[in-house]
Amino acid sequence: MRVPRVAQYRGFWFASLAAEGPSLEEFLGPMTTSFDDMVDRSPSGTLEVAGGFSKHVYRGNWKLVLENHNDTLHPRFVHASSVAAAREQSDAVPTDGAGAVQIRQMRQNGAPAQVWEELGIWTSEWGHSFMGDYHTDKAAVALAEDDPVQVEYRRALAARVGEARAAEILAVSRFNTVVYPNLSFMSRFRQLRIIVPLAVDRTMLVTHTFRMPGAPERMFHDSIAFANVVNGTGSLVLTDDLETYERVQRGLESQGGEWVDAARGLGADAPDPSGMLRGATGTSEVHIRNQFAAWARWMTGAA
Amino acid sequence: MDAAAATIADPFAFVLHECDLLDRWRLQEWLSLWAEECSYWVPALPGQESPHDALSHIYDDRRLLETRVRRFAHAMFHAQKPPSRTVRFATNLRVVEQPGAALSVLCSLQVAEFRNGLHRSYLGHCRYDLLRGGAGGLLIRRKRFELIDCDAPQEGISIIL
Ligand SMILES: [Fe+2]
Repeated sequence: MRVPRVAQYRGFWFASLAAEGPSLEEFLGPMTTSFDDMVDRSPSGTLEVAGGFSKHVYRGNWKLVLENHNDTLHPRFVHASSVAAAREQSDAVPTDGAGAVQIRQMRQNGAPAQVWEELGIWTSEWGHSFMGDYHTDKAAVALAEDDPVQVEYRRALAARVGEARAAEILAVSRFNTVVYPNLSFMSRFRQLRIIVPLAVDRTMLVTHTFRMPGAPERMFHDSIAFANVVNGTGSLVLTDDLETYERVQRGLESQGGEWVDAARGLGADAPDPSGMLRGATGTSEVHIRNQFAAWARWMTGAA
Repeated sequence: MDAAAATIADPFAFVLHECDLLDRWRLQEWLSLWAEECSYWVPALPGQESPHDALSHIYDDRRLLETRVRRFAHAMFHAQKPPSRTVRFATNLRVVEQPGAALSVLCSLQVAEFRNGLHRSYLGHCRYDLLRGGAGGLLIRRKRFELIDCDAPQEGISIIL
């Protein structure tokens, strides 16, 4: 099959099956800043696809995972078991580094309600959205500031872009970015998922991570451990997300109700100076409403 | 430490005992089979050499392994409501002697799982790197289970393989 259009942004290649339509940059809109965030963090200004890949499937519609990736209400409930188990874990027990990264992430998922409510969530045309980062545990993001690995990394980044620009790059605080309808990535953590619908009730995710050439190798190992906790098939976190998608799917297939409510925050979403629509609070479902607006536009052929 | 577990000196009996404890959900006893520094690994790519250089389905060090076990006791472990029933077959066992007190057991392992009306089967090559504990019994230093379809899409793995 010939793909009528291909284009790249910061080295990420996209293909379009439509001969005509918005250009890649028009389509991505403000989501380009998330690609910038991911690439700018590298001391060499480039990323290397590394670490292989892993694939997982769930028995549910592809929309469910996209609705989840910017959802900030579910972690305290869906991930309650891993939050509790991680909180009770003694840090005196040996780790080779991988377990420590995963346990920090699980504990962070138990952040208090106020942290989630105060997060930013922004949406743009074509169903895209991103959310602010919720990591109050700074060490969970990139090791403690005085950690030798972190010091070496900052020095390498500043050597290329200067101290001021390095500080600007590192101050960006963003978690999941959803490029509707088939891409989701964590710019700060160098994690990327491609969402592949296999059937109306079956979806595959392909997970990739990246190495920052010029950064300490330990940061790559931490990215691998982070990938395993957020996307690993046997992750203590992801398994409860997948179970939830499957339960939602069964609920949707039942004759239990005609409507699904996605009204959290409705009426309070407000235009942002950037031109995006921002949820009034971090738990607004503005991203879900935005996804369905894009879906309806495509399905009805509206311009 | 569980006294019975730490005194199993025969490597084949030890592996079968490990499988049996998992099938019977005796997880605290199962945890006592592990050395203080250990790893439990289900790679995502065939022949993967390091768990730190590539993504895995599961990679636990001792600290994470304890957390994994603890989670099973939590009322909101949704992916284990209802809990799985499992049965394991470890066959074609052979011992590879290693320098010092350590030895490895290689086997073909199948884990059959039934949960929520669905059957799943995990099939692959498993390697146990074992240590001799103080009482002469064996302890697991590393368990590496490479599924024959590890690079194919997997559904959520909520049990211990
Ligand atoms: Fe989740």
